[in-house]
Amino acid sequence: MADLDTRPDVRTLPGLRVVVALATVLVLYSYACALWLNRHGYSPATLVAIRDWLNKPTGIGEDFGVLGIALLLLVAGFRLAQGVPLRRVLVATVPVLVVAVTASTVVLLLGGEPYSGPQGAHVTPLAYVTNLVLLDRVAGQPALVALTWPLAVAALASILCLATRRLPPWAGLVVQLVVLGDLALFGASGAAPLHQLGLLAGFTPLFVLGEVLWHVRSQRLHALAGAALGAVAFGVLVLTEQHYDEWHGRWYPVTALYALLIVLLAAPSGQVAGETAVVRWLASRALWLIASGAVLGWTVLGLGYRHLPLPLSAVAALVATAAFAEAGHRFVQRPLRGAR
Amino acid sequence: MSAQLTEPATAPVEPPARRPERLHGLDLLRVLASCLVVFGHIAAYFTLSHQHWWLTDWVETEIVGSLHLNANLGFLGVCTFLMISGVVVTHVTARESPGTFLYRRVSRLAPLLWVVTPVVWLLINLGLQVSSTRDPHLGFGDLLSGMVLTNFFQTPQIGLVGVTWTLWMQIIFYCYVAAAIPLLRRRPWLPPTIVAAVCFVTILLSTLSRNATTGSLHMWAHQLGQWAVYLPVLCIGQLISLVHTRAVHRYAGLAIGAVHVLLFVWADRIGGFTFQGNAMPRTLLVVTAVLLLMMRAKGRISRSKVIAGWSRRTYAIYLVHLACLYPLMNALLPRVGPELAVLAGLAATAVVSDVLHRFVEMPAERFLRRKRR
Repeated sequence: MADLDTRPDVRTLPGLRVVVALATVLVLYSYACALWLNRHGYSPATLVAIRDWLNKPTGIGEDFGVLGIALLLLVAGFRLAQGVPLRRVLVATVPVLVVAVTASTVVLLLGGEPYSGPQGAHVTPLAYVTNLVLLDRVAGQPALVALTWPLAVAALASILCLATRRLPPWAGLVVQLVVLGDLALFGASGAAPLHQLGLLAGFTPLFVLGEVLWHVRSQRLHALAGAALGAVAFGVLVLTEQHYDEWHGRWYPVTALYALLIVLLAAPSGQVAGETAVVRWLASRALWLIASGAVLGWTVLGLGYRHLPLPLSAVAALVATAAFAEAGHRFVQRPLRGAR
Repeated sequence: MSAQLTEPATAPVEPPARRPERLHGLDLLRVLASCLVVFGHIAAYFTLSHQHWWLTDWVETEIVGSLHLNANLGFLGVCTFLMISGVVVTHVTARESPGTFLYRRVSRLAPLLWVVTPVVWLLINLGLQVSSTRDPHLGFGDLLSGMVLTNFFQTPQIGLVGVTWTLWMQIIFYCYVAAAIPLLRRRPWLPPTIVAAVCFVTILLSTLSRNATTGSLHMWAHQLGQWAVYLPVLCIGQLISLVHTRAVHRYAGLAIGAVHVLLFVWADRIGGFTFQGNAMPRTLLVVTAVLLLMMRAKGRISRSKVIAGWSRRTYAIYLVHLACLYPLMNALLPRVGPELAVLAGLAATAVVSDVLHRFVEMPAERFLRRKRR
């Protein structure tokens, strides 16, 4: 008897779980550790050594932070193309965003120092609302949590992905790349809101690459067509680098290449590593950990280093980050995911 | 009492070693590497002659520029060839004795080298350019030294078949693998670990000797250091093969491989060992990742007869492409433009390498294998 279950198989590949876990660690290391240290006048020998021996030779900048974000965007595109229900996506992202932005707002109002852009951002109702709907950069408002821009990238790409879902895979991907490429191109010389939108669009090819990987893997797209579309996606990345001053010297296409290679290698693998408790924990709480690191981790570090030795402050920040992420996952995300 | 009763009831079961299988993806990768090497030398031709061609300019701007690779995609093809060599050569050690192993490797390299080298020597003495530099008139002694690759140790250095500088790395690797075959079968993780230690010491001594030695000692210290820098590339290929056949646990392979990568990064930071550009570690990492991916490739393209045939001719292409391309491009470029000149050079390369493969390389290999049997 033929299997009549036509629901898509949306189980996470173990290898991608490893990728998400790795990406989480990289983002936290970059933004909650290395960046915080540099902004507060520290330049430990270990950090310098890692930059000299790993970052510079590989060409991966920003202490692997953008590599982590690139990996998350690739996986996000893969998962959305895989057919993860929109409800599950919203449950995984919206509560984190709301809690993080609100917590950061409270901390800023109390004089604390979360990771915001600019540092010590001025809180206004407009800033709060635009941050909640991921339009802060487009609206020229400060980013109350400076790490929400990847969510904005994913949201932009997801809207296009869902809008083109009824098209054949190759057609949908072509439409997405054309629209996003045009946004990136016209945003370069556009007014500030369009310019910011173009900057966000510049990162969306990573999301699209994730979709391409899924379609090739599920044999809805021929490998050669996938390679061609992947090349176009990289073309948009290169175009963005050439037209936006903000990207000069950042080598984002190099980072994107590494991210793509890592996901290609990991996707069919990771059967053992992907089932370990550590990887499962990190992967399932990825967004909470990143948000928690940016808000609570930075705040605790900022409060602690004035009164405690830095290593102790770092441990306290790590514990606070992990605890807050666990609490968010247990008491916010899980109940929402279980609610019908 | 039966011997079976004394056996432990819960003896740990090691996963069985995987039998070496044909890795079709590496054929495709060899083909791509040959294209990269040829393209790199075409691009170098235009650079050296201060001319422009839209294709090489576009690649330089859009691909090399945006991915921050070496100019003219330098080292990308060579790195791929060396790493594939590490994989393939290690694969065959499971079924060959040290003597047979060395004999077969030499019988693959030598015949074609001994045919191509005199032809290139003749072309140089006829005044044709067959490399990035124009060699002066070469004597018979230069020919003989080129046939055994000692031309690279002459002062001044003679290029002859310029690309054969990589064959020294291959030969050293073959000698090391031949000597290590018994150990590769018992403790396969140990030989690449020992090589890492030897390379570290060699690079260190070579660096320290830079200001402390002169003359031929200085030359040899530098040469040994250069070899020690490139050997990790082959060793990374070896480790990939050992992990693939489950002779080495993947985490052990990853750890030892990381040491080799760090050695390469260290040598790059010291500087003065390589000459292809400042993107060497990046190139190494990208090639490693691509090779790992291609190890899994089993599709129609990688299994096709065209790819298999082309892959078998990559050594011939490697040896003859400069001698085919540069004289033709010099002659035709002013007359017919770059597109036709390059096409003519590529066609000549294809024809010459096919002829050499069919009538020199394969007959020689078959003859030498029959003699060894």
